[in-house]
Amino acid sequence: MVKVILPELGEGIKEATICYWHASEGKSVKRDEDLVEIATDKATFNVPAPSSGVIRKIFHKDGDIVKVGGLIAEIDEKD
Amino acid sequence: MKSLKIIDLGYSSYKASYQIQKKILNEIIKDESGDTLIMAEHPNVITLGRKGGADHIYATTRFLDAKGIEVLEVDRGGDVTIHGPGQLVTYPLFNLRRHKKDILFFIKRLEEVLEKTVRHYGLVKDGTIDLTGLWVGGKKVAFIGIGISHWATYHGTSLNVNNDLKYFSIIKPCGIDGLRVSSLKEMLNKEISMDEIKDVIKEKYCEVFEFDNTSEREKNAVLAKKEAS
Repeated sequence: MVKVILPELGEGIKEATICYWHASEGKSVKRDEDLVEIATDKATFNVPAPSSGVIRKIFHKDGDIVKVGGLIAEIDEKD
Repeated sequence: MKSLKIIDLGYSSYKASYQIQKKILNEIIKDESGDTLIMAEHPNVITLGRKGGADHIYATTRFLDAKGIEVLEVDRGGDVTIHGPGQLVTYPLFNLRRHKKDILFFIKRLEEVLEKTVRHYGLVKDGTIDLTGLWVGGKKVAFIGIGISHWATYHGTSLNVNNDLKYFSIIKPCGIDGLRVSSLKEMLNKEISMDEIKDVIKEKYCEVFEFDNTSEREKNAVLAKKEAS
């Protein structure tokens, strides 16, 4: 299982809001395709899928505030 | 040598400009294109960033329809804003892997570009207001809202140059209560040449982001206009 975490966004940004999941649980994703759009005060940021596979679990829904380094999803590479 | 490609779309619809942005953004992500600066003026259009709710628009649908003002939800950060003729919009499509992978650092550099641009006209940034954008004498004259994909940036800045400020009264700009806006025209009491200020802002982008030169302006402008049509 590959963990998807909220990436480092630069100095001074400790958290971001989940805006929009491009895929849902049970769906296949390809490595590097946009997985989820997150937002800080003045920027949106698309988090890419770290590997190809099936999304097993999404831990945060739209509108949730997540800390940098926080677990947001898990991808099963076997499927 | 770091080169910045310039595309001047002139007067172009928001949607057409967005399509061109996304096309070039994808090229930048695939490393098929270098850093590019798009400049444009848009017909009146309200855009809602990811923070912006429709409740920040005061005008009725009937008013907006009568004036031909579209309302678009867009994938940039920030709240509601309005664009219109006489406002200079710039879309820096930069690969931050080649600059610095740091969102706030990039936003601060955009503020610096805007600050240096208005300083060219003798206006000084209001340093007492610690909010994103550019403020002069307690009034906001420039706005910033960006998007990032694979550390390549899109969306960007808008600077009130000669635009009609009354349109800002139909929204709550940036979602801030009591926000006062101004323009270079209002502050300087004269119309500013859009061609001239485009040259100034282009030069400031080069200075702040350390580009050695700009390129292919004419070629790209023709290409972009063709794609937009």
